[in-house]
Amino acid sequence: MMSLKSKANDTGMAKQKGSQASLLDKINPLIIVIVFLYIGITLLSDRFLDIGNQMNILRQVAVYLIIALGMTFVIASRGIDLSVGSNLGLCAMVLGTLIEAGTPVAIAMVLVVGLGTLIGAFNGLVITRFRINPLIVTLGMLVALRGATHFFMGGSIIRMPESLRFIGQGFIGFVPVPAIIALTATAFAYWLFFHTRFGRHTVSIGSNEEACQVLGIHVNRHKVAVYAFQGACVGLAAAIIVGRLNAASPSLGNLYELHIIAAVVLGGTALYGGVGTIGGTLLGILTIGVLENGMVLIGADFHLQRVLLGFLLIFAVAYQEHRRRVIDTRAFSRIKEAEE
Amino acid sequence: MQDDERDILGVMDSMDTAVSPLLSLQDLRKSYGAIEAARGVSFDIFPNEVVAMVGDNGAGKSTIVKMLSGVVKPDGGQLFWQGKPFHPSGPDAVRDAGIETMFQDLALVNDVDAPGNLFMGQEPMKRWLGFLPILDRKKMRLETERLLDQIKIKLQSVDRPVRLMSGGQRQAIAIARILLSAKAQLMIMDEPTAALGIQEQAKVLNVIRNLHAQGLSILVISHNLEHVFSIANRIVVVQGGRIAASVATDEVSQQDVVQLIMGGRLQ
Ligand SMILES: Nc1ncnc2c1ncn2[C@@H]1O[C@H](COP(=O)(O)OP(=O)(O)OP(=O)(O)O)[C@@H](O)[C@H]1O
Ligand SMILES: [Mg+2]
Repeated sequence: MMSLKSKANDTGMAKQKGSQASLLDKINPLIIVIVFLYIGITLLSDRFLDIGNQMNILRQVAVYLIIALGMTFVIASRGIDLSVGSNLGLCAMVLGTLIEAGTPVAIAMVLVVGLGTLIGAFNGLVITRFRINPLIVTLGMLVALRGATHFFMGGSIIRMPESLRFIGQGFIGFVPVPAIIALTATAFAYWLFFHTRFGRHTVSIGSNEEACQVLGIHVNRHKVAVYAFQGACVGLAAAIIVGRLNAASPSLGNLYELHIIAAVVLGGTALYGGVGTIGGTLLGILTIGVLENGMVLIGADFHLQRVLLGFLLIFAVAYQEHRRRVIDTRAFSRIKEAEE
Repeated sequence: MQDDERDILGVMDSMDTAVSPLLSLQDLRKSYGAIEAARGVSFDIFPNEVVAMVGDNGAGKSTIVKMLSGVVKPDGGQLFWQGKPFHPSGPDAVRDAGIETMFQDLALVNDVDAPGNLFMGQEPMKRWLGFLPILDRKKMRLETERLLDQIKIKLQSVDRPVRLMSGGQRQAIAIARILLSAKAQLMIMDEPTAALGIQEQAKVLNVIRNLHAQGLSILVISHNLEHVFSIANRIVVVQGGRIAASVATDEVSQQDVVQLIMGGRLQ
């Protein structure tokens, strides 16, 4: 069901027809990037291709991927959510606190997904009701949520129950449980994005909000739902990361937003909205995950990784702009030829 | 249009008391800040009537359309739909009531293809493997091709984003969209021929005639008096946010209408 081909638009089905459509237009270039990364890192480190290390990459990227799924909807709708990292930290601390107080793991998880959803919905409500730029609203929330987490829940909480550790560290066969959860979530997000009205209206709002309003789509309600979905993804990710670390700390999730936005944009979802792809987001997350894993294996400096991530974000946006122009120009000339 | 057909409608017009309006506008008002775009607009649209709305740029025509289609809430005044007070909550409520609108700016979503635009907000669903609800893309495409065929405007392929289409093709999609509804009783078209070539204009006028023949009412806005006289039963002249005149097409000349638009009076 997952298609890794990058259509110019996952939901808009802007298929590039005609035999002259170049392969690059059809296949997400990240596939090529990943192949080159694999070759390059394998040459530099003999541990890279170990099945253990490969599964380790999957486990590492699971949390990012789940949050990035929500971010794909947010960005495709021409929004942005900078507060996901802080939201993750808060959800993780609340989860830890609930469990420490004796709440059964299942109930605590449901509550935390609910909390994440509420925070997302709050973002959406502020953005739509008061017509404030999402960049500002979620930047404010990034700071406020982090502050609140440190203020109300000081130190780290350690030693989580077995069932939560299974979610974060367990294996089914040789596949890490977090990877299974993340891939299931990816399949769900793909369906939601590509095959339902919800997904279609999400990109449509990103492309032309006024037209959607005029055509009877409840734009504000829809946007709140999109941010709420993002929050739900964060809540789920919080359960996995607390299980994986066997601990919760108030600074958890710091700078995650950069990582995730870079991956989503790298994958092909457009920052100006109207275009989005779940398959691309999966590839974007994998690219960054492989890159980071490789740098650790090679022994590159942690701070150097940050430098790379920052430049990657800038490059991703520049590249998407370029790609959109080139593809549009080519499509135009093809259509002109066909019509003459 | 046949002369006898117009005669019958002329009779219907003169029997206002017998036939009640399909849609009635009473004293609609709308201001944008200091600009009073509509200053008390009242007129009726009767069943199976083609009403043309004319007026200079900025006269307030599109503002009236937006109030009728639920996009803009009037500051004051009343709407009656089939005799009952009508306070639509939004565009979807208006559509549900049986009024379809083609907007002057076309209201197209640029990154989405033609079928996606036609069905925006009312996409058909089907079940994949009998359980998973998914969009019925095939149905959307076939229906789009059928409707575009109906208005006889060619589109090379429907499955590319509409931003890659010409102005005329985009207009065709906006027109096809209002033909989608099976229960519409009133079609509102804000300058449907604006971006079209001569041949395509004629096709759109035919679409309007066909809709009329099917018993629908149409409110059409146009700056082309030639068109207006060839399709309308009645002409409503808008000027400075007010209705300057409402005249039966066969009782006036084009010259008269030009006069009215420019602010003159009929002798
Ligand atoms: N959203 C808006 N905000 C502010 N002013 C507006 C808005 N929409 C319309 N107006 C103003 O209201 C007046 C009427 O505009 P409207 O679009 O209804 O005219 P129109 O008769 O449709 O003109 P045209 O023939 O050019 O389409 C104009 O003065 C216009 O500037
Ligand atoms: Mg207008």
